[in-house]
Amino acid sequence: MNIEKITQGAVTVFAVGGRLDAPGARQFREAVSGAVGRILLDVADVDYISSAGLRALMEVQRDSAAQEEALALCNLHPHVRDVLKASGFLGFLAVHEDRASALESMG
Amino acid sequence: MDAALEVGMKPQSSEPRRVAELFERFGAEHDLPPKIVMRMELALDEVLTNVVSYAFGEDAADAQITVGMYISGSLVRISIEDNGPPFNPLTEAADPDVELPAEEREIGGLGIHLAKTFVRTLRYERVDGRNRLTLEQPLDGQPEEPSE
Repeated sequence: MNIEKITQGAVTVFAVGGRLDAPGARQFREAVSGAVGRILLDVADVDYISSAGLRALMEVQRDSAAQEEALALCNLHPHVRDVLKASGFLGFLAVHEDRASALESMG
Repeated sequence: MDAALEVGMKPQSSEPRRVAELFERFGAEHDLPPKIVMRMELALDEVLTNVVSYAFGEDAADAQITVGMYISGSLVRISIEDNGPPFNPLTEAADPDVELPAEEREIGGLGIHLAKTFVRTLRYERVDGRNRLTLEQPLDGQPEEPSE
């Protein structure tokens, strides 16, 4: 997993790359845990996600909701979108086309 | 187009990724449609992650896990065998409710749900003291689309 943290105004962007499988999800949780405020996950370089990655996303979503802060994803690979759809995650995750439109809507 | 690859696996948490990536390469070498490869790879990863997480425990030294990948005609088949105690993941893992909002979700059960969604046929058998799970996907016709 390559995870880069970038502050863009009021939003913390995590640019995530690699496989969000069980080992990847552990690294992802470590990198993102403790982040406060609005979070955008730019997953342009994630082309694979398994249920372990989904669980990690759900945990990050719960942390954000507990802080009453926004969480969003952008730049979904078609296969990642497929998996999020099949598991019903598109029903509760905010997803944007690209980083610019995500940042615009997150203010 | 016929091909086969059989590999052994240790009951370690790093192994499902290694074997899933082997399948990805196997699929690419034999020009399988990338969408089918990704979906079967996910199902394989989920099943193997279950096996290394739950099947062995104290008896890990005696663990035997083998994965076979086959293409015969227009059918792709993956067979996963282990000598752990009898366990049918297709019936013993509860189906998650994918309609629930995040805060009411159970953490678990999603892996097998995804495998069932993305692969046409999953079959469990107990054969000669081993669990055998078979994943089969025909190459003709697109895999089913997940419902919203």
